[in-house]
Amino acid sequence: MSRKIALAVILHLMLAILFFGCGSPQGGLDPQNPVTITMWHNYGGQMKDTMDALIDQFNDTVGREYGIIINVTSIQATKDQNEKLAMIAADDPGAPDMPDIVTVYPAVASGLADANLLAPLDDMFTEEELSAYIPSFIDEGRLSDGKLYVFPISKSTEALFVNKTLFDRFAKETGASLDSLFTFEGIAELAQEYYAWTDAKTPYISNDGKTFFTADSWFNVAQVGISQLGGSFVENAQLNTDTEEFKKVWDFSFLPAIIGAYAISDGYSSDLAKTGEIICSTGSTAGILFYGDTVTYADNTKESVEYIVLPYPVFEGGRKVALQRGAGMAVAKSTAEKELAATIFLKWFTSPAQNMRFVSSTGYLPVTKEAFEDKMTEEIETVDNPAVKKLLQTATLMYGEYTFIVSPNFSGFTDLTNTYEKQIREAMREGRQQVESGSDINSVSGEMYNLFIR
Amino acid sequence: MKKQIEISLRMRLFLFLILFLVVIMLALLLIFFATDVFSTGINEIKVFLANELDHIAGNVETEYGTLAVDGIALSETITGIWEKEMRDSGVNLSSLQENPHLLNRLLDSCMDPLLAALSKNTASAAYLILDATVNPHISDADYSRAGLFLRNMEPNAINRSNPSIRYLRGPVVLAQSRNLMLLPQWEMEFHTTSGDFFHKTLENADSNLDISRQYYWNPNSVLHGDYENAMLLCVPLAASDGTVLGICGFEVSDMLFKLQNAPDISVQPRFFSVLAPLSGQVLDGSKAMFAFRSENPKICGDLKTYENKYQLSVFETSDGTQYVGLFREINLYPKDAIHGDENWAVAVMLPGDLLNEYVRSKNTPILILLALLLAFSIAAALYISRRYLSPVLRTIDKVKEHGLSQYTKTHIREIDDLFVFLAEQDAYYNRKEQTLSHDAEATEKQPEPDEEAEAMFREFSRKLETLSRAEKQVFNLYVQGYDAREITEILCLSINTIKTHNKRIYYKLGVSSRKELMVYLRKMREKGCPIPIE
Repeated sequence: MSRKIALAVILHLMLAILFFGCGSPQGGLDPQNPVTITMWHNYGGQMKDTMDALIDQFNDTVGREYGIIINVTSIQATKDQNEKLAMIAADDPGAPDMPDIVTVYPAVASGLADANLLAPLDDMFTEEELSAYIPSFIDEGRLSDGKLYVFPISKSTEALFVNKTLFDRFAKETGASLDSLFTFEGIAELAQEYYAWTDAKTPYISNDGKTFFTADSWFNVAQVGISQLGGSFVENAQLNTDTEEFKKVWDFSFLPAIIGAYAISDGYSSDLAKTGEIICSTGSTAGILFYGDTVTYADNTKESVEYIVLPYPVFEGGRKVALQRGAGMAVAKSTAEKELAATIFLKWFTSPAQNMRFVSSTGYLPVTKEAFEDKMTEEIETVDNPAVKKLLQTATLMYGEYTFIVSPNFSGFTDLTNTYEKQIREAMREGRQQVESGSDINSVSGEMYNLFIR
Repeated sequence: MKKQIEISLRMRLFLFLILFLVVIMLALLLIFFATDVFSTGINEIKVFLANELDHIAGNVETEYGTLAVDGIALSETITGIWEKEMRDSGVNLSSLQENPHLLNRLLDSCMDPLLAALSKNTASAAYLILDATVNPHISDADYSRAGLFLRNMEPNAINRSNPSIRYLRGPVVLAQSRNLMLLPQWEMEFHTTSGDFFHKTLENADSNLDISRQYYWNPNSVLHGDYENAMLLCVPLAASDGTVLGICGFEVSDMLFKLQNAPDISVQPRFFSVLAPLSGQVLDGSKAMFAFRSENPKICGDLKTYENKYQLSVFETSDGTQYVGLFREINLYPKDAIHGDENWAVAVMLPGDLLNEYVRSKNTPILILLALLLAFSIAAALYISRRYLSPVLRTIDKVKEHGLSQYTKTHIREIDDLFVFLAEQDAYYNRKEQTLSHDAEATEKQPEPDEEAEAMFREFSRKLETLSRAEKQVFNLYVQGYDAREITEILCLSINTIKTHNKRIYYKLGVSSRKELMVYLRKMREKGCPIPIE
């Protein structure tokens, strides 16, 4: 008996030594040997501080507990990042390394998923966990195989940003009303009125009126506008342009542009807003921070201005439809530990407390039912930034009144969008040149339309 | 009689083996200490730190040196362009402030060289600031300076043929003409304040010195209205007549520095590197650039340095947090430069508590192996001591049970000799018993008494008196035929106590075996002596 006891004691001693010597990681994660997750995101400028603070908080708390460190290695505008991701998906020479987590739109994620670079997230969440999120946001992140690749972290829609200070100046002399800005037709009319009004200020110089409006995305104007009118712009991965609905969109977009009432720019509308070159523009609700509260003129004089945020315009007779957008985060296919670590970060980042903190300083919309439906109204009251506050109020209103559509997420969608944007701008510039040369506006518009739809 | 500690044969062997093991372990430990095995962790760290410091310090000196050279070339290019532009417009360079309408033209002429310079090197931005403003009549005109600031959004990218450049400062019309997008924090002009990098560079400009001796590296700070922490290279834009028109240079953002100079984390993920101004033995963390691959160290204040017992540097913050590593002074300026007396250093370090953990983690496997070796050795000693003696003990048990007639050879010479001796002794006492028996029979048949046997018996009887009360109790039970185990139960004593009494009884009575004792007992019965004894 004593021999058995002695052997048992020694065996237990050896096992204890081995066990405590080697440590006991949780699910592959070990606080003593943390795993580093590289991240690319798009939240620069003012949003960078919020993002940095949240990541630091994660690293100091949950990250330290599980053995996870989030390291941001790139902050870029969406367009630039999409180019890098396209290089990675195509395995181009000189492509950078795929980050472990990246903010990405579903259409871009499709290319990465097709190249087998993304980890599906369905198995990383329980049904109960997923049910906490707005269902349509989760669905938007599912790609063609039905699996969840793009996890919603923040959502946005499009709205109309109006420089109220400059608009009031215009309205005071012309009687223009903000109510006109609720429809596309109203915007087109006011734009031409504004052009004429500003042109008249320099009687000795003709046709030097100022631009009133531009769209960050003419493609979205078409996609959403056609949907408002009951049609569909994208069918079978092709654009449906030979329709009455598209003609209406064309008339709204093209005519005022070739007159000079719309700005034709390859950049963001907020760039033009900073110099007072436009009065209003459609753009992502997440772009509110880009507008600032100052207009700087060419002689370096600055004017403090007030912006308001109106719901996305609607075509007369159309339904209230707007685009649901916003990047999610995708997780790179990697080791089990890194995929788990990335998922733990996603769960933490999108939990109501963190999500609302992110939202209240960026203008994005939250993604969980609790944050979106229960907390939004009271959280809006606590927002410090007046522009963000207005933006969230408008977005909440839109979510109560509008129907939301999502862009298709097939892998060629981004190219299709970019081609349309490029072509319509080229057409606008060409048309503008022709009008400036003396051609009839309606003739130019008609001819360019026929060329375009072919 | 002096009490002796009884140790069984097995225990003796076990203890002997353990002693041998302890000597081996002590020898091992001595060898480990002599060969510095327990310092392996620290030595590994020292070698790693030295290599990383060499690599990173070298990299920083090269990168910053290259940017300085590029900055000087850019300054000369811009100044040349401007001098030509001003000559063509018939305006003196020194009267630029009075001709703000020329500013856009001058800036436009420098856009392409600035873009070209930015696409050729690894800076995160290129800029120039003129000592003039487009509108000297506005309220903050004293602080406003015209210029250009172009930021490369992916400076570390390999694909430089199509860099993504964004516009942070400058007239919008110039950005639009080149399809450059504005950054959200765009402003038309720079906001400068007295004592900042712009004024410092202008004030220190010396027309008697070559431009290569006049540049200045502004420590980590944020440009007014921007969000990016960065170091700025500031090179004076000096015309050939000595007029200082402004400054130009490049930016190294904290993101770029991090991507280019983060140490290898294969040894420990929380190593990070630092480029900081050095004053005496203090690194200025508030002006430092940090590079890390995992967690941001977030050091904002001074780092006092001193050496520890391992010849590593300890960097201590004002709140007592310690980091351990190595540092080295580097040259950001030529020795005869205006700012040549500024000291900068590159350091590679990690949190002090993690270093201790790392060293422990290196020693832990050795200690675990030693512990396992110890446990195994104890088990082996136990097993060997038992296994080695088992044939002996088995033979002893057999003999106890069945007598020496059942003795089988153990093939251990000494044991076999002992049992042979005991067998002979047994035979002797058998013969003695027979002798005593014959004597008894003879007495019954009225034989002649054996004087020797009588004397032995008398001696035996006398010795019986010397037994203690407890010994007599045990003796009496033995003569009644009880065995040792039964006696322990009757007397409620342990088996060891009974064995002790037994030995003492044998010793006192002068008998060497139970057989011999039985002979005397028979004699006692024959003579009618009382049994049990009192």
